[in-house]
Amino acid sequence: MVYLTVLMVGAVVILVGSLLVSKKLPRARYRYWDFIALAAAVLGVFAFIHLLSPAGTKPEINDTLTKVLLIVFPVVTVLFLIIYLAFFFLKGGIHSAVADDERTEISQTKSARNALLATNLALYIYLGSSQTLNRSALLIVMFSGYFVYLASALFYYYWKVQ
Amino acid sequence: MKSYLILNVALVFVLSLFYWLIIRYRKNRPFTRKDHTDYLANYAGCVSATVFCSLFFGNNFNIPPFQTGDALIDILQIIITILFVVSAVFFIYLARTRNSDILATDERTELSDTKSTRNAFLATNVALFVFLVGSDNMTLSRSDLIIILACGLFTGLGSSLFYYFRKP
Repeated sequence: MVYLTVLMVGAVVILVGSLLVSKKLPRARYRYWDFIALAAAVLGVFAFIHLLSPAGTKPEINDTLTKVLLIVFPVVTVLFLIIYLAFFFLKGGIHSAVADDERTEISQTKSARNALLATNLALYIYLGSSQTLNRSALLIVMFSGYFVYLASALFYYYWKVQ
Repeated sequence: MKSYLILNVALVFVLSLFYWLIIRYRKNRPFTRKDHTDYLANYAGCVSATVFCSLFFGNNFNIPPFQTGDALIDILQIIITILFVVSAVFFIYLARTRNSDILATDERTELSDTKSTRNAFLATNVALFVFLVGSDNMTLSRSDLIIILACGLFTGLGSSLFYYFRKP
């Protein structure tokens, strides 16, 4: 719990600090970042890692799903990073010439919206048969939101926001 | 358990397909699309409200509404039902009177829908994180889920009111 609290405080400090700096420096690159959407994503990832983490008093990793997700989670993250970098070097992205603009903010906001939709749909699927969520179900629910967030961010970044 | 999951997956797929068809139909007919609504944000809100109501009002139709044995839950159920009916009547009244000043939408309406959903996502994740940090067995009970979803729903509603009247 201590390390998670430290992580959370650190993330909040970084986000608030970035926000303050961006307000002071209007030409900063992250002026158009949607910090609320980013904070939501960071907290979601923290909760997901907290569920996956075998440290401390948490339950032992004895179910197959957790083992699979322990592999899939970093693989998906790295895969999206590679795709992002590949597109960035091949296509250039929408922001390479003019830096970030309002579309960056909209794309992050819409990614958060899509992640919430995916999370809610997964919750809806699971809660049809049970009124409680165990660790495995919660992992799948959160992973679906995480996956959709990354995919949406990539989609909106390269296919532009209307 | 598995048959329920498969049935729910099929239901979600059909609902999403139906919703997507509506969105496509409206986008392909620009002259009929007079309103600017973020359909995905509204869909997320509807699903969230459905999950919340299914948790709040009963378990797979086994528990009838208003008979949980808990006075507080019963009162909250009645209040939410009355609020829902009053809201429905209010919006039907607005639609019938064609109050264009209130019902008119533009790009800002769409943006306010999107931002409200984003804020609901943040509130849900904050509540989820707090509950998971405080939980030993990593399991969310019905009351935990109700509180987590209620955080998101109230934030979404509050944000939509804020953005609607303050404009994004």
